[in-house]
Amino acid sequence: MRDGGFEALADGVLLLVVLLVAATMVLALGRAPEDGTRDIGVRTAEATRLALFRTTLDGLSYRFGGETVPIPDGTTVESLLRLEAHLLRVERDAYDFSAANSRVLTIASQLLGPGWSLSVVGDDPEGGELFRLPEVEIPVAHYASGWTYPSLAGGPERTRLTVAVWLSPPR
Amino acid sequence: MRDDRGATSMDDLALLLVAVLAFTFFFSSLGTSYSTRASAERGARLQEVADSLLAAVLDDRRWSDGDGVLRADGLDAAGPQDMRGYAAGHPFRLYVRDLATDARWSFEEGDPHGRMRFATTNANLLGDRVDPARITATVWGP
Repeated sequence: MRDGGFEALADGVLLLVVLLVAATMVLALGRAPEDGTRDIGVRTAEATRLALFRTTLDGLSYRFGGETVPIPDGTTVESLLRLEAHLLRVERDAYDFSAANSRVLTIASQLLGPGWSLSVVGDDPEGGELFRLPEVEIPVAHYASGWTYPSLAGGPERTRLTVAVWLSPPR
Repeated sequence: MRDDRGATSMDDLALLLVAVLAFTFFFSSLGTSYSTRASAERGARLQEVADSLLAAVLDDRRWSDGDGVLRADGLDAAGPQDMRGYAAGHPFRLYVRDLATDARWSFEEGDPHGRMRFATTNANLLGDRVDPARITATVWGP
């Protein structure tokens, strides 16, 4: 090959490299956009909280001092959880809401799509957590929707009810 | 014996091959990128139709009290023609399921073909009581 031929070939290889880089950039620009998992997570948490809290239940009760205390039919999940938070704040070990909580969790699990997990948390913004349904560790990568309510007794205490959802395994 | 014109031609041929190879890579990647992006945009537009169908049905006062609370009697009286305008001419299927009673409502129109996108959310159904519900809107398009 002549010297001029080597130069031409070197130019050609340079052209190849430049166009390969350009092709890579073009392919990168044309890739599919992000899947918007965060938006979906936030929407899922909000829609689940609203649908769960508005649901009414019949035949609810809780236990106090060995007695079963009925809760009026048609009570919303939101009202039930507010009552639970209120009573647990007064005397944490005296009340047993496990049967009612089980009904709430059954509804919550029906609302969630496959692959999602959930926990409902009731807490006092100043005093810490009052209950968590179910008692599982909420992963760092979760999406939450909550609301803060005034005290049922008219005092200064407030209750925050939060629905946290996350993908299992997290993405 | 060396033929200069032959050697030059061989050099040019090598350069030509490399150039053809480079441009082939570049333009094929350009084409791939364009078709990928166009396909993604068509999918995104279809997803918007599914999302807007779902949102419009959730807000339609003929069967909804708004804010995701649907009335069972309103859904009983509804038909797919009532939702046609919300699907922007695409074949669609709207499915509502009462999670407490397992009652179901299904509204569909058009021949499903092409790609499919769906939107789903939680809602409530108002009857004698307020039940949890799932509502799913599916649309098809090119």
